[in-house]
Amino acid sequence: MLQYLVGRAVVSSISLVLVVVIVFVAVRLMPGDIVDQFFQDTGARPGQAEALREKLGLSDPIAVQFARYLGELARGDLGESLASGRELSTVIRDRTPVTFQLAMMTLIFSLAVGLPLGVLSAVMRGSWLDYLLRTIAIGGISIPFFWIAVLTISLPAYYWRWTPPIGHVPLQEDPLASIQHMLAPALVGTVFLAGSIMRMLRATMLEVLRLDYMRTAAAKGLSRATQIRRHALRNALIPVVTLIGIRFIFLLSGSVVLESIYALPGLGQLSLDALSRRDYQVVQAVTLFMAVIIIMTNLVVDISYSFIDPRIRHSRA
Amino acid sequence: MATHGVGRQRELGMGRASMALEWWRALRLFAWRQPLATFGAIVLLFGLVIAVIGPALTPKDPYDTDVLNGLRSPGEGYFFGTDNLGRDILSRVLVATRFSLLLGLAAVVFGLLIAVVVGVISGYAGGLADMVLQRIVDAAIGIPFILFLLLIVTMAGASFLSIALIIGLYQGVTSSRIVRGAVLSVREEVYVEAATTIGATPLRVMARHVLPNVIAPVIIIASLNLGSAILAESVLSFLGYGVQPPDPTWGQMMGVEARPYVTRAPWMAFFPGVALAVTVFAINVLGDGLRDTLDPRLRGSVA
Repeated sequence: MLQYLVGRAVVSSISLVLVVVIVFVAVRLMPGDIVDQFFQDTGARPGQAEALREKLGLSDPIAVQFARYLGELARGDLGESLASGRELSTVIRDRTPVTFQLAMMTLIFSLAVGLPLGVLSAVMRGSWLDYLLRTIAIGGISIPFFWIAVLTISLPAYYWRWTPPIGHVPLQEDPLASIQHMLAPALVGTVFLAGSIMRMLRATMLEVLRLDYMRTAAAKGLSRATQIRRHALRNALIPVVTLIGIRFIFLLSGSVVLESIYALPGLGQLSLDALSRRDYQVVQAVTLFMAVIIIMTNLVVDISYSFIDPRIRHSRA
Repeated sequence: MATHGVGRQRELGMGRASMALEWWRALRLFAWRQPLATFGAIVLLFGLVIAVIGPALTPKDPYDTDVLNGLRSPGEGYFFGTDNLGRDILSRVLVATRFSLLLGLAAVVFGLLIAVVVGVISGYAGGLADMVLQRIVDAAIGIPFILFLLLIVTMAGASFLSIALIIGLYQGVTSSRIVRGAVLSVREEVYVEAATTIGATPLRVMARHVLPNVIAPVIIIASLNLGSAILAESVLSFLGYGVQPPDPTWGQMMGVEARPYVTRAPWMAFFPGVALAVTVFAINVLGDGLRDTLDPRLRGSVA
């Protein structure tokens, strides 16, 4: 296990370095920089823009900038925002709970809906209910989530002069209001995520249901519910765990859009603002942070296999 | 199964008429077994027709602004209503079909090329090449996709070509894993060993023996990636990073254009979204049906 973890750590750090390089170069190749944006409306006196670039370190050759950035990262320093000068580790620490809360709420709702319906669909295979549930699940993954998000605001507002609560209340200040404020975006995410959990679980349940040990379980005289719970579901869950890992990444990525629609001050909105302002430091810091989370998620998913299925041993990376 | 039969007949040199009949039987069987997928195929065909002749069907000029008729609710003369500039939403939705479908198709074709090249090399060659390629795949999976898309599109400048290439690149790299998995299992087959034994070069083995046997997963990936490619482009235009106006896209219509009027004109976002949702739904049910027919073992591996 330890050997496996070390191997994974090495491989993951190679991927992270790649991400850092790609993002570092890509942000600097975008047309215009933060200084252009800053003087866009007011106009700059001659020399003013150059002086600002000098001060922000943007006039150095790109190799020098990259070396400086790597030096900072090596010291565990994410740098400061070009626009506000705030310490980015602090900014990210403030923003993360919002995105994380949204992702967790979506995940919990999706499991609550997706697991039972997925099992039901597999057990009732071929029935009209199965057909209905499958169609709903495909609908869930096909309907654009940003479209439903806009409709949850625009339809009630137009017809009943009411909108779901917009904005964010920190969880520790008022848990109930906080959950209420995030209900709409979390449910929108659930439409997609529950649909994909249902599909995956149905497919894997069907494979497991025809295996020999299921017949054995039935022959032993176990009740149908026990057969499903103890023997089928447990074995069908492995691919679903992988899927949840992959979809968790999707949730992080989707937060960019959902947070912008529901005015949630999370990582997604932070990165979207930074991108349009050309705040290189913020874009770099957020993508790096997200990449670390994504890679760790994948690792946790892989390790969790051995808990669900003790036969899987991580002998080689 | 059905396609297998067709292939064998062609090898035996059967007549053209009986081959057509065989195809027709296979199609009918597919329609009988997969009614939902058949529905998807019909909707998609309908969409393709609109993509081709859409501009001829528009009841009004989709670019013609008429501010006095702005924000009209759906009704007489304007079935889908008008936007803030008084442009006919129905006409704009029709015209945008071409962009979304063609862009999705272009992205998927490009992505498939990458997935097949990367997957076959990685799976068949193994060793150092596999190691290097798979780390690049890891890095691609590790990047939050929407952010990456926004970043690269801004960098390269938003155009039909750049957006299709970037979505295709990402999809190709991430789905190369599935091709690689298929190649890994095909590589162990006896016929590959036999070909190698009689002295076939690696390139020949890859092209003649490995590639034809991983076609099924490739078709399935293509159909399931098409929906995501169209959605990805829509997210991009929704946030205002897509191709620039006046050419309409569904994402742009319900995003940058509709959001300022979100409480006053819900139809501005509603109708383009219906078009997008129906298109993606049709593609996904078709992809599902194809997967069940071509390779039921893949159920789950490409969700």
